[in-house]
Amino acid sequence: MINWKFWIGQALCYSLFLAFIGYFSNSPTYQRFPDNQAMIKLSLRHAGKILGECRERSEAELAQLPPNMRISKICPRERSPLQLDLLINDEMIYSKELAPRGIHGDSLSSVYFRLPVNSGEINLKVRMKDHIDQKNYPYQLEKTLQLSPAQVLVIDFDANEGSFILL
Amino acid sequence: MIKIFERLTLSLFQFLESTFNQIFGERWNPWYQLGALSFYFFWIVTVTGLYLFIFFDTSISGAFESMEAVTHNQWFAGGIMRSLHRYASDAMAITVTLHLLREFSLGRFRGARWFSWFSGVPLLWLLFASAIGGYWLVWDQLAQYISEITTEWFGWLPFIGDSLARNFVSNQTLSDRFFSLLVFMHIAIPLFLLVGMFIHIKRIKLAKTSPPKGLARGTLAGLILLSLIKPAVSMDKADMSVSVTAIDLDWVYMNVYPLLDSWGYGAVWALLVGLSGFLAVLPWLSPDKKKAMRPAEVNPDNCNGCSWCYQDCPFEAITMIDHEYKKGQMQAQVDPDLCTACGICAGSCPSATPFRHVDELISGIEIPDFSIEHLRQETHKKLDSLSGNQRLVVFGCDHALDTDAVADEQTAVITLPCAGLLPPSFADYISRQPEVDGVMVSGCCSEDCYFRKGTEWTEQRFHRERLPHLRTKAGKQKVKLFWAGPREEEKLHTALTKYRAELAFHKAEETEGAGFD
Repeated sequence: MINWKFWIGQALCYSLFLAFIGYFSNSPTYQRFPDNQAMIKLSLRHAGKILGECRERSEAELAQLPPNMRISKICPRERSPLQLDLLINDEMIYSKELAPRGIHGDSLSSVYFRLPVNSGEINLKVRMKDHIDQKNYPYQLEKTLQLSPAQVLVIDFDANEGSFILL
Repeated sequence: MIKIFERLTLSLFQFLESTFNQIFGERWNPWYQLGALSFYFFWIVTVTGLYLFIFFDTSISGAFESMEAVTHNQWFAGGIMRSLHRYASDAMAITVTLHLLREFSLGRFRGARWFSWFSGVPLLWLLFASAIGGYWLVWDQLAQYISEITTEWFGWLPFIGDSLARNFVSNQTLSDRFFSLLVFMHIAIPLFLLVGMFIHIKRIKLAKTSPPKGLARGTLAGLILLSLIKPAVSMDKADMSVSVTAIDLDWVYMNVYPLLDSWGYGAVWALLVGLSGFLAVLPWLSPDKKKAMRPAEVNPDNCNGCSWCYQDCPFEAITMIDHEYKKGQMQAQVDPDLCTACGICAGSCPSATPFRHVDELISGIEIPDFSIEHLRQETHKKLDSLSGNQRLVVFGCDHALDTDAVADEQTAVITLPCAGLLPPSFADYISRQPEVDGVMVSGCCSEDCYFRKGTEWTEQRFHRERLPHLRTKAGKQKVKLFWAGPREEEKLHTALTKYRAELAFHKAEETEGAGFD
């Protein structure tokens, strides 16, 4: 004889398990930001200028070196940190000195920074120094933009052109 | 604190298990099959994944479209496969989590069982990495969200840096090569997971890696039905120039993602690494010194090298080596690091028979804290206090139901670390004592022996399917077996009442037969 209680009980348990999976596999919806928000991503990589100048080795210095290493001109490897500022509507949002990577500090400096902002008109200023001795910012961009809701604005830097780019 | 949580979860599981025993029966009870179900779901995910991979375009531009085509153009095959792929992986995360909690509640992370527990911790990371990597490949808005958050989260680590996140900042920076790497990782990580799963069960003999057919069929049918009712679909195609504000998260795997948004990356790293570290060291944080018994010891004088203990040890703690002094003979050797002191080896030892004519009963292998001699003395002590005309001896198990609840002047109760410790000859010996009318051996329910194989081996030994056999001239009715989980004391009461009725019937028959003579 079929034990209906047995089968109905099992069906109920399976249903609960599957309903749990079915529901939580894509629900409830996670509201990450308000719908009217846009996003600015400051993301760039750039090598700062070499710190120090190349110089010639003296005869005495050369004599101390093994013959296979007697190169007369030596150049420092260490690069300058970058100074990067981001201003939105004249308010300083981001200002940081970005150290170069690498054990000897001779590689690129990089940044990735994400900022949710309200959509609408914004005045954007971004500026960068690539040597600690620079008094002014050789790289600058100022622009007034209309950001639509959910728009992602990426601020990158084109090292070949020597200018900021907006993506 | 750990012990309190352990007791609470144990009570909850015991309630659920006894309820499910009434619905599914012991054989199909899913709570006893959580590890096996996890393996089963893994294979479903693997098979469906292989099918999806045939149609998958491993490029940024083609990934989304190829998945859409599989989902909608062949909903009857690819669509169901995709849904099964997703739902089975969700089901696996659930059974794995419950498996972890259940093993914790049963204290199966202590002592010699630390290895399975410890090796299970990295599997959690691999499981989640496998699943999240899969969502990434679909390249819809959910994938976009995951790519952004995951790369930022890993980029927070100083040795990785922000260059990882830069790959996903805009449509222009996306690269097919990076996408190929993701595909490779979605295959490689599950392979590592599989290797880890085998390491996880390495120290377990005859590990249960497939659920009973009935449960497997029911689960698969349910998953297919769910796939038809609610097919897994993608969100809109990813577009890095538009931010994803509302996301249909898979909360089974991505429950930590909203925390990344609200707590920050460092805090979530601290939480997850801290939790994993805590789980990994738990066997040493909470050792159970009071209950811990010394591992089994071999007595070479009494070991004849039969290797039955070697075959029966559920934890592969026994190996056979050349006998210490008997040339050409073998003897057992116990690895104390692997031994759980269950005593199943003592139950299998042919020299553990109390019929031997020796002053002190020492078997070839036994648990020093619960020797066969100790068992004999304890049993005899209890027999002295028996009275009435239906006197029963009940051998119980420390980890199953509370057999002490049935003790009275007619019922002597002796509890063992595991029912498998009781040699069949011992039950036979007790059943022949003049002050005993019957013996009942009770232990964990058949699918859920605390020491894995105690119930199964005992059942086989007493049914003459496994050595050593039960050999009783007193008749089968003199020794009964009864298996049930905790909280099922009522079943034991019923079984004892029935047993007493049987004994009364046989006694009446014998008396009647004697009268005719």
